[in-house]
Amino acid sequence: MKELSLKRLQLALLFNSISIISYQIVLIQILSFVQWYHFAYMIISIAMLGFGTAGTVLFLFKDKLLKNSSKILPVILILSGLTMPIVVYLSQTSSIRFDTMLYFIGNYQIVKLLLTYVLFTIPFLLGALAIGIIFTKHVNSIGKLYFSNMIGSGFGGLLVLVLTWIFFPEKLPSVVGLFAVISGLVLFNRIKKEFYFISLFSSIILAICFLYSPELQPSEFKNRSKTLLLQDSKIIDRQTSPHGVIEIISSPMIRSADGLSLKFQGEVKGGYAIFSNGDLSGTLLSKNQNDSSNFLNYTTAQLPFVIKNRDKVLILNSGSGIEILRSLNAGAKSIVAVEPNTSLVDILTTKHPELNDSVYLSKRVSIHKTTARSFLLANDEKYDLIILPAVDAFGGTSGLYSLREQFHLTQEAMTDMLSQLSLDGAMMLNVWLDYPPRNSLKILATIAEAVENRGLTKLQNYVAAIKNWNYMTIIIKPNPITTEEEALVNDFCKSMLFDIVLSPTLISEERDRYNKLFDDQFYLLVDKIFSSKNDRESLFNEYVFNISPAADNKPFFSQFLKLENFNLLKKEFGDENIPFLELGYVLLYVTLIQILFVAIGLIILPLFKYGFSGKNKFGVLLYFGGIGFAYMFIEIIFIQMYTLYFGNPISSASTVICLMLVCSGIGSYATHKFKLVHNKSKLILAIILFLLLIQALFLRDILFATIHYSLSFKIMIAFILIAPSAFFMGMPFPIGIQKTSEQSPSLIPWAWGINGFASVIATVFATVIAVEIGFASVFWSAVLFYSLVIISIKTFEVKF
Amino acid sequence: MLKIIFTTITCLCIFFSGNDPYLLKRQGMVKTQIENRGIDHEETLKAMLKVERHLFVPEKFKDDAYNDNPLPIGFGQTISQPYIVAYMTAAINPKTNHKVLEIGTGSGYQAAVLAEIVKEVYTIEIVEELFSSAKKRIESLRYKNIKLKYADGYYGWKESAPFDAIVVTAAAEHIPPPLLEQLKDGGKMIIPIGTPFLNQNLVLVEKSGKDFKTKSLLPVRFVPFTRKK
Repeated sequence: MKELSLKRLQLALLFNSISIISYQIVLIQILSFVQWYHFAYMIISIAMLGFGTAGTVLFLFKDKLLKNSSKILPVILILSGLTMPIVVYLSQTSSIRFDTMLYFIGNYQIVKLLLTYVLFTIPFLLGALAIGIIFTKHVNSIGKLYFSNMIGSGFGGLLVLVLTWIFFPEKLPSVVGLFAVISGLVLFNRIKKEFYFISLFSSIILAICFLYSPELQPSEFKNRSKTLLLQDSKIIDRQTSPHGVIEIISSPMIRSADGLSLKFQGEVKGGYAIFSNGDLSGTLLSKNQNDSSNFLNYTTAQLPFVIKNRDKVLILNSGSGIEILRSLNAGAKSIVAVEPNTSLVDILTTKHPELNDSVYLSKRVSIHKTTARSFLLANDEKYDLIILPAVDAFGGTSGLYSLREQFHLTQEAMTDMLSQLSLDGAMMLNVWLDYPPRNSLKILATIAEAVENRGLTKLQNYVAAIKNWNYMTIIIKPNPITTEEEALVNDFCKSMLFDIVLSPTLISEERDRYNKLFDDQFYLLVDKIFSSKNDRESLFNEYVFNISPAADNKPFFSQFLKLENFNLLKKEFGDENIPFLELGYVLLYVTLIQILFVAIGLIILPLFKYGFSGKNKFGVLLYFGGIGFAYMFIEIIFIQMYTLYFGNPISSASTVICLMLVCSGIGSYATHKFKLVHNKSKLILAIILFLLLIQALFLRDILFATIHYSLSFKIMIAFILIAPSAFFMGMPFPIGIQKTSEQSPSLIPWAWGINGFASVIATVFATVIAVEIGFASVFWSAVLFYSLVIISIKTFEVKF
Repeated sequence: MLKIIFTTITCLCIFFSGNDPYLLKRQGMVKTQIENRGIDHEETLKAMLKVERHLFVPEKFKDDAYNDNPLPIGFGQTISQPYIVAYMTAAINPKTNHKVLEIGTGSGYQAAVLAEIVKEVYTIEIVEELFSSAKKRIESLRYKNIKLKYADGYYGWKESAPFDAIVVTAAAEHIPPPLLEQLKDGGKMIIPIGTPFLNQNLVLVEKSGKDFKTKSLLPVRFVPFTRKK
């Protein structure tokens, strides 16, 4: 049988890699819409599980697969492409559709979850098997092949960004599946009739899947699903982007009035709400449409405007624009609205500005489409008022966002904000009074730390907090609250029947004058937070939930669960309430355990065939496992750092992934071009370590110093910083594979599988480390893994 | 004393109930789920013992009607857990001469419990299908003192206002101002309010002249269940 040419193989690898990486991102988009964001971890795991399983299959059936590779490769690549939309379709059928919120309730959810896992693994397994066959069979050209693989992956990461602007998530699997089908057709012998038949057949299947894509059904527990149950509700517009699906839903019963006074006698009129990936971003208020904003003056959040006129206002995560409307009504002369979701701003400025009085288009408003923290880091202007988004506004209490980084709620962010206030300025934030108290205490603890970080004492002199029955508004000043200001707070509360939770000369009876909480526990805890640093810290240790302030190193504001108290909480609140306590965090561990089991099983499994003994196997495990772990750890750290730098989480992540993979691909190509062999391994690893240590010392400072520069300059900086390390990080894998082929060629698929599995575990493990110890530890773990690889080469006489 | 009365009523119920196959379950429900959890409002206990909850749930859930949990009644709605029904009823301290407004008829169970105690019950349902089935059920059970309306409960029942008490059984994100207005001076309203869609507190609102006071009574939660389509 005629062998496939290297060029055709490279082209096939390129298309296949584009397809695989795109599919991974598409699945994250789909599952963020139908379920929640935490599925990102599971999808990355599933993808890598496919890679690992492919390695094992290849290891077990190597001879047969390699012998018939010319026939098998096109078939499995085409099947990979065709199964991409098909498995999504199947996963949406009622018998398989999984719901995170029901995970602990039963209803066969564990079976459904496993079925989802198996289904989604299929396209990855097939695509990865093709890569494995090509790598193993053409090991002498591994540098060039790995280059195509990496370039394809890098390009795929960018391409999918473009595709998500054009196609809705349900259409995307067919689109990205096309690339896998093309990769298979590239390897087909074009003279044969089968080529034309297969081309036509595949195109028809993909076209059908595209045209009749399944309707994605979000969990019934998502805000969108509940809103659509309201009377006369309908989706009036939807838009897709890398941020996810933005939808505007109308219903006369969508009424939201956070922090409303019992004195308000009018009507909170219903109308419209905007959703991002099925989660409520906010209701749309308008004075012009049906005067649905008339209640705003009767809410707790009006407090800063009652105390003082605010000319210059900064609104972070401005969302549906309610706070812009409030500020405009209150006479603010200049409003800076910061919103990272560009798609949300676009739909409200171009397609439906009338729904919120075109607030984003007001001459007094300037829009910045970036994250709150990036904006703060890049600007040093002073403001009379900084308004933060409501804490735990939508879904945080359910614990599904416990693993989402919220850099605007760290103590460093609060300290920055305080320094960006004018002399009489204030920052305002709102929080739902949750039970048991978590968000409310954690935000107050963060505020206390931030005020103290400025070297101030008598913290309560700088903070005022008021509440209605379930909503608290807090204002913080860089200078003490004056007697006049305090009197205005008192008057406002009396006229609106609000209670004062904190103020410089608070009388404890004022806390429950109009709205009594369940008990006094909340106030006792608040007093402890504001009494002294020692009291605060002992409270952090003793309290059943984690209410220590979030920090840049551990920016997980909504992570409250202390694992040691899990059983206690389960007993106290019951199994059915676990989803509301902290499902995201629990599922992270569930994922880690599942993946560990499967990974160990599938790595150990092939050893049964060849026995356990032999130094090489241990060396291969250490080498390929080590570089797999280290690479993913560094990638995750870079994504985190550059998200802060660029201010847009999705495009930042794609840029970093693309840059890293392309540079690593070039590095891999260099090993082929310059015939770098195993005796250079230690040197290359030492260079990587050196470059990483340089980054550890200077990266943060360089990024923060240049954060206010233009985007093109920042991309250049990112390239300069990422490229060298990524270039060298692309070398150890092809060098290792080449050496394995010389020493024990039968171990190549196993080595490749180990590398894949290490990447799976690393993704989930990195998050565990970040949550438990902090992001800095993830970086040092990567350094540790690269060091271990060097040591393993020497100590275990691994023959690389 | 309360125990003696309760036991007497129970015995009378057994005597007059004939072949009510759910009587024992209902007694168990009142004793273990309600009385043992501290609810001692006599009229509420009597009403909970009298109203046949199994007649208010879909046929397939009849045997589960007296279990300690809410049950789906279709259209994304539930019949509340018996304890919550009793708790909300006792919290407004209903009297025989009271006129009570209920928002969210659902199956009609809460209205029936209230109707056993007070003079008049006005109840509003926004889901047309639920309104129709509740109306039929209430009529077949011959509750003359329950008036039903198919409308958006947010606006209350202005023509029949003011009310001595208002019971809101559907979760709200804020206390609807029209309902506050329709409450009598000295009247009470109980309402589950909370963050959008997920967590609620049962809040008791008391009106005194033009002023109001609220008290958070009990954290409640939207407990997940699989909706039967």
